[in-house]
Amino acid sequence: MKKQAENAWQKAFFWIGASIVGGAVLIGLFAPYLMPSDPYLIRLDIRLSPPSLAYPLGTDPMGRCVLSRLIAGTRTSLFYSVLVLGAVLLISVPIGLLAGYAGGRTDHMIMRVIDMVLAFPSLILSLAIAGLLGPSLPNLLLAFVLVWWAGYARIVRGLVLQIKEMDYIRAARACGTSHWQMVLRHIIRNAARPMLVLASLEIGSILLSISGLSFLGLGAQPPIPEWGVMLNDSRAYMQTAPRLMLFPGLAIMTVVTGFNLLGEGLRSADRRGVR
Amino acid sequence: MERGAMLRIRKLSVQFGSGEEAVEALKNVNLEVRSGTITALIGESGSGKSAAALSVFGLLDRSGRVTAGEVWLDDTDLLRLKPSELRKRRGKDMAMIFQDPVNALNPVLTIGRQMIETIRGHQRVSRQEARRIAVEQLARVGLPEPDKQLGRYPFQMSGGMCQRVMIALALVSGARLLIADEPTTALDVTIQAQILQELYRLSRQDGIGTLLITHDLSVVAEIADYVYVMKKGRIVETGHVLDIFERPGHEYTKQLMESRCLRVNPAKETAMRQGG
Amino acid sequence: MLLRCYKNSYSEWGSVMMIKYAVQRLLQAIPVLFGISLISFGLIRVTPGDPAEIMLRSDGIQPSPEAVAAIRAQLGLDEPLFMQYGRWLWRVLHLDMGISFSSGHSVAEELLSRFPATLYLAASAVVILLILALPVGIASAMFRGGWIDRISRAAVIISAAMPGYWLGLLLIYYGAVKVRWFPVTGMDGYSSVLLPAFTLSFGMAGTYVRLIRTGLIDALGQNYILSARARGLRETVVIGSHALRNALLPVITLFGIHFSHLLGGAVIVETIFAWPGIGKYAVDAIFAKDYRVIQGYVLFMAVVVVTVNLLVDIGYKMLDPRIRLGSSA
Repeated sequence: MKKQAENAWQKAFFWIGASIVGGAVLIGLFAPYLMPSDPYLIRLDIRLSPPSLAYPLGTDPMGRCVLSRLIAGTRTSLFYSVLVLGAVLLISVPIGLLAGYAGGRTDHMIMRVIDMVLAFPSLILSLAIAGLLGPSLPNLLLAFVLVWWAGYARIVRGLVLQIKEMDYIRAARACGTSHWQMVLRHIIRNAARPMLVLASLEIGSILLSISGLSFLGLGAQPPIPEWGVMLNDSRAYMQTAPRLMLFPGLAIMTVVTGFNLLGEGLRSADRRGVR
Repeated sequence: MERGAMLRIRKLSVQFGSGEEAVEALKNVNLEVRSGTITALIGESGSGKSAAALSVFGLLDRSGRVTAGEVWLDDTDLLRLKPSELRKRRGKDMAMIFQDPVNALNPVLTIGRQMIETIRGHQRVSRQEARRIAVEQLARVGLPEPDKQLGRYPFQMSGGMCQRVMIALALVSGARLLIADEPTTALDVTIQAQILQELYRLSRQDGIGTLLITHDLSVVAEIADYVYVMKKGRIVETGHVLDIFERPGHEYTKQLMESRCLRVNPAKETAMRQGG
Repeated sequence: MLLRCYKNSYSEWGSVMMIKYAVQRLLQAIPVLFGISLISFGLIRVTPGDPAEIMLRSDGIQPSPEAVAAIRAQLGLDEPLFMQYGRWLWRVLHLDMGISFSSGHSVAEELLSRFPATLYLAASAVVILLILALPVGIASAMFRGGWIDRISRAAVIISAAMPGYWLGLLLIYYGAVKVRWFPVTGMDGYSSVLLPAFTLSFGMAGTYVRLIRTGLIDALGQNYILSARARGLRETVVIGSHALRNALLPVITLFGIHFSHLLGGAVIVETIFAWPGIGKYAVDAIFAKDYRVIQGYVLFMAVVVVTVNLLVDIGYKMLDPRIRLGSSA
């Protein structure tokens, strides 16, 4: 009976996460229609005004509608996080596959490179690359991809190594399956699910990191509405308009929680052998 | 050296799980252990033997519950005691040794550390005094170079040596009741004989009352005085070991006897019995 | 208590295997350090533009064609890459990482002088982390499924999702501005480290709670725990002396990775709280386009992380007697 309660909780968490993420995606997609005002419109005459009918969350230091910027920010954050994730997967999966499947010297060499990259604290390395390239959003994204592929590749490699040991792989090899077929049909299919789970858990981190470095001023540059940047802008007005600090942070936390719950739900479903 | 019964289990019933998934591990179990004797509790795996032992100690798994019965140790019903009271008796009045001796010891602590900790947990003695007692106890169970053993770790010792340490640990605080749950199952055959000999000596020389839980009839034949046969949580037969082996009453007991094709009359062949 | 637990271990640590292992790890670390230096060296090539021009600009000089040519000759920028690397490596090994354009001091000097502040922050964060995570983790394990377990699970999700910089801002607002208990920024006095250290530790608290919980549940399921209880040992002793000791060993192994995250997180925390550490210094350098500092910083941090990982590895092997003494019977 206790187990049933447990499962109910897990399912609930999963659906909460899924709805948060779904909601965020919808907001992101339909942003232009949902925003009450233009997020870029600067109106210094109404700067820092409290919430009102026209501006439900008030205005920021440049007189822009906070709510509109939040909504626009959803688009930015989600889009770029997925972009980074996609790029990272695109690079790390083939490399990890190669290392795990080929083994031997190739594996050894690739692992050396991975170890070297992983020796740097990831945030610090991304910081440095982004800083050296010049603060801008594309540079930031590039920096992340350059740093984060390593950890992923290592995980993919681990998965491949595990799968390689399984009996059905040996059976397939005994049947004379070619390497390509082996990789494509068997290995990827079996690695796909855990990778999916991992990816969903990681989007949250990516989002946090993008906002984090944007907060420092290294990513999205004004006037792009990005939550991290909005938080940074609010710092100077902590005394006069503390509400400005509240909403972007809340937004980040909510969306990341949504992704984490989704990921956790997928992970436990995977464990229970669902689907 | 036989005296009255030390441990008397009356009508003990234990259940695991709750609601629909409840499993009755023990039903109406009656069992006695007298000091100075070795009483065997025999049955297949899963018959509930370990559950009986753990119930005595109050160490049942979280999902297990005693639903009925009494467990009398001398003149106290253990089941009615408060947990803190029961804890005080563990080790002091009753002790238990387990199946896989190397795993039953903390791998990252030295033998000495674990012994001294146990000793000082039950008596107020200084560390040096506890150390002395520890060495004494290890010698008592037949370990060579006991003071050297104090500094060693479990993984550095063989299974047989670890089991001796376990026995020493169990009895160091003066327990008169020893429950041995499959003490030799994980050991080599030659070592088995040594450990059994040790248990036998303890019962005859020191008057320890032992409840020997096992699924192995040859072990029973070696050292047991009385036998309880358990099937699916119920005691189906009980008696003196010689009677059970020569004239098994219950169907199940007969099956157990027959499944042992090695020795025709184990009671006659065991040297121990003749030695006394 | 914890140290006394391991005291026994030290009396035997002169084992030959341990020394062999330590040397092995040291040797293994060398190619990694080498690779780190390669990456750090190559990093500066990432910057768009002519390196000579960048160098001049970062030293505050306007790049005229003659100056550029001079610099190129001086720095040997026309030489093959590996020679430039060799030259750079040689200087770095002598702790010469160049001069910071914004301050005029040696980069190495600046980094080393600011590092203690960051270390102080990180250490405090670890302490707070343990104070937060240990009790909750232990309670979650002991009362599985209880209310504390549920709360801890929710807390884990929150701590993982909450942006550290947001928490920092909130804490500054409530802790320093509204309630005025803590200084707003900067490092003076003992209380000034609390808010930043707490912010830094919070992100990892969730992970540690779960780690401790899992480790403890594993340990509690082992036979020696049952055996210890059967001997009548007090529950506090069973958990504290037996279970925890085994449960925490794997946690220690992960500490190396977590330290790396900690240093990364420190960058943001230092910026928010104006903590005079190495992270803030690096961020300032980025905006000042002080490239040598950035390069030195990256190299330095990587070396620190590798060193810490090495120490943790060796330390862990020493603490676990099974590994330390080998499986000789």
